[in-house]
Order: sequence, then structure tokens, then C-alpha cells
Amino acid sequence: MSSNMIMLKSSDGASFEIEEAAARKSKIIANMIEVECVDEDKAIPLQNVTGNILALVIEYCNKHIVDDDDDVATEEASEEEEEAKKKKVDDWEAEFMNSMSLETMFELLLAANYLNIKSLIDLVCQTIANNIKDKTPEEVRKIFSIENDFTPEEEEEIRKENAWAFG
Amino acid sequence: MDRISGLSDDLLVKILSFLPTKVAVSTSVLSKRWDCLWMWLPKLEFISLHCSQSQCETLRGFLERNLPLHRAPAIESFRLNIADSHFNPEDIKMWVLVAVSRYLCDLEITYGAYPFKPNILPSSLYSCQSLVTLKLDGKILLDVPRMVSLSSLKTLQLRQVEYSDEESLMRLLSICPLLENLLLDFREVVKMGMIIVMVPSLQSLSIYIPYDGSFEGLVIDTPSLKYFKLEDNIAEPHSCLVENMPKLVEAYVDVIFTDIESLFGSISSVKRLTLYSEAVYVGEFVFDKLEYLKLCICTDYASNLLVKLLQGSPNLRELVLFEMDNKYGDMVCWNQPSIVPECIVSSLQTFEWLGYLGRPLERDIAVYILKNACCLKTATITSDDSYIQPLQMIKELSLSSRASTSCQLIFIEES
Repeated sequence: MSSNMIMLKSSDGASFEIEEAAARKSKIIANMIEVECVDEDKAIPLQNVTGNILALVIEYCNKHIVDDDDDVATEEASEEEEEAKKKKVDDWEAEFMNSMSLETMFELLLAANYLNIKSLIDLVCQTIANNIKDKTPEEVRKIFSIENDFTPEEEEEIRKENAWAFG
Repeated sequence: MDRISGLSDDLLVKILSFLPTKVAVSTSVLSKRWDCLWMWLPKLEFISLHCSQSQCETLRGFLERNLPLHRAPAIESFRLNIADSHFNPEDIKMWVLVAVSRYLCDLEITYGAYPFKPNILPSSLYSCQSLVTLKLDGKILLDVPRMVSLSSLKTLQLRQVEYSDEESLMRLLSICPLLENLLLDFREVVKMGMIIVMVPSLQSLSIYIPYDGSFEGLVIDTPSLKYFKLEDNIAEPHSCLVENMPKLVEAYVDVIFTDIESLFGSISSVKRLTLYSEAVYVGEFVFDKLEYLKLCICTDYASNLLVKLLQGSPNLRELVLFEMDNKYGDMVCWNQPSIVPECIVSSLQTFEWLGYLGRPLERDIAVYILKNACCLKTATITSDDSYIQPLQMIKELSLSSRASTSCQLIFIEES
């Protein structure tokens, strides 16, 4: 595996060094590398991502550096090994997401979306979805501070139309 | 606006897509921002299990009103699981029809209700060019029209479906030029006739034939196959014609019929084989790629089969002997081969016996392998301590001579 390092620069001016293989988790950065717009001595400026969020993104990418593309190499690994590996990643992801506030989660989601890191978008969306599941609409509104702008009549109408979902 | 509602539609729909459809729809009541978001969901799933008539009516009304208005330009996945008998097959057919008309990729229907054999598949399903996966489970009538094509279909699973005639299955397979994965479960299928699977593109094939079905025979011609699973529980003699599978990597074979020559001759390229067969093949087949063999020993002639396979597999590295659930036979004799099979001398590294009972015949086999396997690294004997005296067994086996001095002998007790 190539250990080329590249530099990323956050919107607030912090610089981060990251292995190219990890940075390639971002489709945007991978494309930049493909078309050779990456100057070895210059950091890639990421205007929409702050330093603290970029640090999380890099932590995620480093952790997932070997999966996805390297399936061929692990063809010989047994099912149990695969499962154990997957569980380890799952546990790490659960811990990673568990440690952040909803506010950070939204920032991370926007960054993942901007950098186009599909698996991270999925992970954050899944975690946010878990906060909606098994809750009443009132509880969901409270968790996310969503203001109910329906009149009681309007709300009643929707509940009637979509009665199946509230049954 | 609050943080979550400020996200783009795409991201909000993405979040909703990780929820069951029912929960996603219930977010419509949160605020005006959320009112119609669920209508962009690319994956839809409707489940009706143990619902009252009025609940079923609510679902029916919901689907009737909303499905035609669904806004997602393409429906990636549409799943129906219906076990309540309060639905009119014509209604179900209409929902499938709407889904199919939206560039549907994956369709999965599980049906366990009355009336039996409902005709809920619209004929347009069989010419749905976007369809990649089709999974049907239950007594759904499969009536394949002529002159249709499923040109993108890669995965097909048919469990317990009702074939309109004996040619339906063959006709269906013939219109899927890219089919890679096929699962056929004939449970509850009364009359199967001849099962013919001829699919040049097929890579994975699983067939389950129950003991109580009436069927004439099996013809399989799948030259690209990599994974093959056959469970055939019909004991009466029937034909089994299998064409060569040169790319086969893994096979799981559980058969009790006797006409097995064509089957064994055609799977000889396999790398990993799990096997239960009541009959022993006669041909001198060479399994020269076989590295892993897991053999069920609950049949009269399992030891003969074992010898045959060891003799025909010069590169075997791992041997597992085990007892399959629901098999009650016992090996009757052990005819020690006069010439030690090549794989035992030169390639066998791992030997495992699950459910070892320590009977004389079993002990003879275990001792024979330990005595002759020069490259053996580990031998693992797992036994149920309620049946045998572990100390006695350990003494017998650990004192027997071992060809491989570095072989580790491991005993595991299960209770």
C-alpha cells in the first residue's frame, strides 16, 4: 500500500496530514488526486469543514482505510474472521457516534456530504434515524427542537390521511 | 429553523430511509417541513402480520391513495409481507403494478394468507427491465407469459410458489439472460414434474426438494456456477443429470437418491464440499482442487464414501466429520484402505470430528488418520460427555501413534 501523505486544511486554518489511501474515502478528494490537482507541498483547502469536524472525518477514514476496496486480498479469510472483523468495526463505529452530540452529528453529516464519503453519510444518517425510532412524534420534536407549525386541525388531518402509520 | 429541518431534502430522505416505512411515514406529522418527505423514499415496505380487518383496511386505503402519488422517480425496493386474509388479491396486484411501473429494482413478496394461489403478479412484472432482484415466498401463482424478458434480473428466489404449469419455471429462467443467483425451494409444491435449470450465466444455485413432493427428475446445466447447494429429500429413484461445473468453488450436497454418478462427476472441480449422501458413487472421480471436505457420517456407507473421497482428493487440507441434524443412520463398517490415500500422506493439515462417540469403528477411523497423516497440524475431537467417557477416549487417542510429531491433539467436551 502506498503511504503517500497529503495535507488537508480546514476552514479555520488547521492543517491535517492524512494517508492518501484514507483520504480517498472521500470521492471529492479521490477525484482531485485522479486529475492530479493535488500539489504535494500544498494543503487541500476544505472551505466547508471546520478543524474539529475534519479531525473526526480523518479519524473515521483512518479506521476504514482497509475495508471496501481490499476485499480481494482477504478472500481467503474465513467467515468467522470476517465476522469478527466486522464486529470490531461496528463496535468502533458505535463508540465513535456515541461520543458526539447531535449538534456535532449534523456538522459531521454535512462534512461527509460535502466530501462525498458515502459510508460515513450512511453511518450518521443511521444514527440520527435511531434517535427517531421508537419515539412518539412529540418526543422526536423535543429531541431535535422541531417546532410544530401545524394547526391542530391540520395535524389531525395528516394523522387521518396517514392513519396506517399511527396505528 | 431547527438544525435537523435545515438539512437538505436528500439528507432528510436518506435519514428516513433507515427507518421502517411505517415510522418514516409517521414523521409527516412533525412539522410542515416533514409533511411530504416520506413520499420520496426509495425503499418501501408494507407488513401486515396479525392485523385486524380494520387495520388491514387502513393499510389498503393508505396504499390505494398514496402509492400512485409516490414521488420518488425510481422505487429501489418494494417489499410486501402479507399474512392476513383481509386483502383482495386484485388490490395487491395493483400495488405491485404501480411499483413495477416506477423503475423498480428489488421486489420481495411474502404471502401467507387466504385465498391460496392468488394471482397477484401483474403480467408487466415479467417484462420489467429495471428489475434486479425478485424474491417470492408463499403460494403465489407464477404464470409467466410468452415473449417477455427480465433483462436485468440477477437474483431470483422462489419459495413455495405455485407454478401455473410444469413449464413455468423453465420459461421464467429462459427470459433472464443475466441471472446470477437462483434459489428454488419446492416446499409445499405438490407437482414439480421435471426440474430443469439451464442458465449459462448462473453463479449461485440452491435447490430444496421436500420428501413429499412428486417429481420426475433434475436436469442442471449451469457452466458458470461457483456455489451449488442441493438438498433433495426424495428417496424414490429419480434421474439427476448434472452437466459439468468447471468453475465450482463451494458445494453443499444433501441427497438420498442413488443416481449420483452424474452429480459427483460434475462437481469435481469444487474447492470446498459439505456432503451427505446415502449412496456411494462408483466412478473414479478426481477432486484435485478439493481442499476442504465436511462429511456427514450418519449413513450406512459413510466410511466407504470417505475412503472414496480421500482417494480421489490428492490435495485435501482439511477434513471434518460431523453429524447432520435429522440424520439418524450409522456407519456399518470401516474397510481400511490398503494403500494410504495420497492426501493423508502429503496434504492433510487439519482434522476435526464433531460429535465423536468413541465407538470402535469411529476410533479405528480416527486412529487410522492420526497414524498416517504426516502433515497434520491439529486434530480436534469434539464429543458430548453425556455419551462417552472422556478419559477413556482421550487415553485411547492420545496414546495411539501419530505420523506427525508436531500434531496438536485437542479434545473439546460439549454437554
